[in-house]
Amino acid sequence: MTNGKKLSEKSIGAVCAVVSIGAFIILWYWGTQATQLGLLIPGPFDVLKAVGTGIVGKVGRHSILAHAGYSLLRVMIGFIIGSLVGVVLGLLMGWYRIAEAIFNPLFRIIRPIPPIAWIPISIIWFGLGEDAKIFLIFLASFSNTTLNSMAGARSVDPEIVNAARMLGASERKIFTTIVLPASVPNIFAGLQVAISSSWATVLAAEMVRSSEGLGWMIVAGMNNNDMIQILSGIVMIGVVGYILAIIMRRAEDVLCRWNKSGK
Amino acid sequence: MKRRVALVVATCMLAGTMAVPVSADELKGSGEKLIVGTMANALGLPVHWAQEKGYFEDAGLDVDLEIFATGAPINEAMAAGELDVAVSGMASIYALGTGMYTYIGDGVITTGGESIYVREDSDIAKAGADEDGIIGSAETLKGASILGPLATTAHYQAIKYMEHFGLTADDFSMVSMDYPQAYQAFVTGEGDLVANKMPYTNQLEEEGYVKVCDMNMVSDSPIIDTIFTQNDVAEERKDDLALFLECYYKACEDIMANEDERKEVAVQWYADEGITYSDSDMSTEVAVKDYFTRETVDTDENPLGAFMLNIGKFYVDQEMLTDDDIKNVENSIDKSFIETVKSRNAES
Amino acid sequence: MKQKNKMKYFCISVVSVCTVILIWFLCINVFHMKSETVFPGPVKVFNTFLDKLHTKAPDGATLQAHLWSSIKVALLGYALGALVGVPLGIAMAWNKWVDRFVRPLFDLVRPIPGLAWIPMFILLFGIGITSKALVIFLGALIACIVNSYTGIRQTKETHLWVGDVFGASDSQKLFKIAIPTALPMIFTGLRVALGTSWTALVAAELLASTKGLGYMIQQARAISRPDIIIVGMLAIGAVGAIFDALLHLVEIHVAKGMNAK
Repeated sequence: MTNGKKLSEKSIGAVCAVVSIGAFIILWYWGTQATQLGLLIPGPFDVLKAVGTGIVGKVGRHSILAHAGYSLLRVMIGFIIGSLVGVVLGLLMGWYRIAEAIFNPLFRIIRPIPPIAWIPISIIWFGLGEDAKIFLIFLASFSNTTLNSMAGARSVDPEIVNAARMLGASERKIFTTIVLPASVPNIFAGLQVAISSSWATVLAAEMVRSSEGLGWMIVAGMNNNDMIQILSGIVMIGVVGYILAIIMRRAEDVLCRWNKSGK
Repeated sequence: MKRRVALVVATCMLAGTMAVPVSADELKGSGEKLIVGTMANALGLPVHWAQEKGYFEDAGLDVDLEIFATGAPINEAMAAGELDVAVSGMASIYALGTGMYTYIGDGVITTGGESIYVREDSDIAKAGADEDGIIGSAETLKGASILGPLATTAHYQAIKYMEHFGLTADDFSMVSMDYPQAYQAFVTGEGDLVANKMPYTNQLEEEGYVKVCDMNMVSDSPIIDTIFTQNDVAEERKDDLALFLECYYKACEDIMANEDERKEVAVQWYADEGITYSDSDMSTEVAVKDYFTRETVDTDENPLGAFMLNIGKFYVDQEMLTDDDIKNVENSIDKSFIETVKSRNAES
Repeated sequence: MKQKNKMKYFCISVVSVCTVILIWFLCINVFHMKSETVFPGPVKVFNTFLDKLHTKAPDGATLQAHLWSSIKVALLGYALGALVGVPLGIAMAWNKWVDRFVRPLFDLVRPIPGLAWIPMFILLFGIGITSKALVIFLGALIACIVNSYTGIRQTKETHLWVGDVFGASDSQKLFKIAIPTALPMIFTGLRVALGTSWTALVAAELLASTKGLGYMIQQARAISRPDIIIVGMLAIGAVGAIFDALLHLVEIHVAKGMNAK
């Protein structure tokens, strides 16, 4: 019984998704067909066709899927390192005043500096290879996870902490059994933003000399005024990012079951 | 197809036979990796050509080619120590100003194809041409916006063009956009003028925009690109660099001698690097881009690096470089490599 | 006691920043790990900073002029993003149907970097402030939606049941229970969004600019002036930090200690 209900819930969601994306595509199509817009940007079907041929054939040296693979690999490495560092640093800064005093001023200055602005410096530090690209993605995921983990550690109900303290829990125990779990919702909000901003940084990262990746597709498209290639790259970044977000949300559903409002 | 293959084979054989006597016993390639940064355009073509024809290999060089979109990232890569040699454009002046590099060779010569365009119905176009054939007037140009990339020949040309009418950099705004975006934004109605280069100038011409000036109208000399290297590479790998230059100019000579093959190789290479050139774009490129040969490089009328020094002085006036920077540029020019290449050429 | 503690932590912060600057100084000026023309030391950067306060060369405007131009663009984009993002995030969390229809599109658009939109925005909206503000708008929008959504979703069911028992209408439950619960998260979102807006700035100014911090960095990059690049980065960082601190003050006032310790 519950199974059947779940299924219908899912299918409603799917239908709605199809309807809303379909409506968007139709609007886009109508725009390019019926108005002046068509002179400026290609229609959705031209782009989808280009994506299709890119998957079967090649864009530049690789197929679109291979480009997506290269980009994903870079993003995953940067995201994992960045979020690990970010979560640890954020929790420490949120819970221990001394950690906050040490790291917060530096973090505050560094956080607003966009990855793109780091490109010249990262080339000097890491050269033109993968390291510089991963560093840029690291920066993107690091700052978001730090901020959210910090907010999480601070949002812990002090009454619970005091109760634990009264019952004789050690500071370390309080940190691992109260602060950490209580911060999980915030950490996940941070990870969600981080995964999308890491993925969004792939373009900036691949502006550091690259010859493959979805970011490269867009950069090459820009250098060539090839709107179809730019839009294929955008569509692919959107789709892969969508899949990443779904995976992330599933993970959140599983790990934060107790936190759901359960409507 | 068969003919094309035959042609390539024949050229390769020719190249092979030519390469043997040239590599005399005095110079020896170390076989160590030589990393060269350049762009996928007329400038980098000889490097690509020499690579494809195996000139580097025959000379005992192991050349790795790294392609960049513009000169600025080449400078960054040089600064990061990622490249040994840069074959680059006007942006080189800023790298040479640091004193960290040695100027060893002149690159491609640009005589045209770099121009500024306006719309036919604009006041600037209506102002008509003056005695020098340059279109525009001080009144119509004051406060105008020019689309184009900064710190490039386009920027240089824009300043020179405005200077022609007695206007300074404060009288107009240079809207920072890369060549392709500048072209696209201009044709969709943005900006008053666009300063661009091949192949976009060719497209602008075909689409009926009005050319207000060409580079050679406002610049005192043709644009000459550069080949420079890290100071320590210049110290430690003299033979490799001389051989590299030799292969480069040999490729230049091939390119100047075989127009059809030049077009074919260039269009193919640009396409591989994601840049589309039409036949007419390529024909224009052949018309406006010349190469030095081992005979014509570094002569009395055109000494090595003269153009860079000219440009340097210009940028000092624009307060973009200091006098100290120019001294560095002057000191960076080292003719010994080109002299070796020339004397070897005279012997053989 | 509390005052003394505050002082202590402030001193630790100062020492921490000074240590970083000292390490930077040692690496560049003492051990010469990189040449100053490649990566300038703190002294040179500071001198360049002072210079840029009054000289226009080599990038055509003083630091203040760049800064002002950037702030205008960033705030415009941010304000739009917050105005649209927060209500949309709340609506998505509160109403299933809004969620069902908006979310798929949102999820598709969200991962696309602002930078990627630039060529299209230029085609559609020209090279004026609109295109730049839109790039920033998208960045701010995402952070606002995500955090407002998560905040509302955190509302405790028991609180809503209490509302039900007392006969609260749907809108009363939303405004009296869910939104106050979500406020801390919404504010985190607004802060993240401000960071994102400021972050999107350089991307926005990468193309078609004549002024702005992003433009200054781009220009400095083109003419190999790493000292100006670092001045630009630090200016972006410092202004971002100031914005953040201001918003934090507002946060404390509005959220009334709900998440502040």
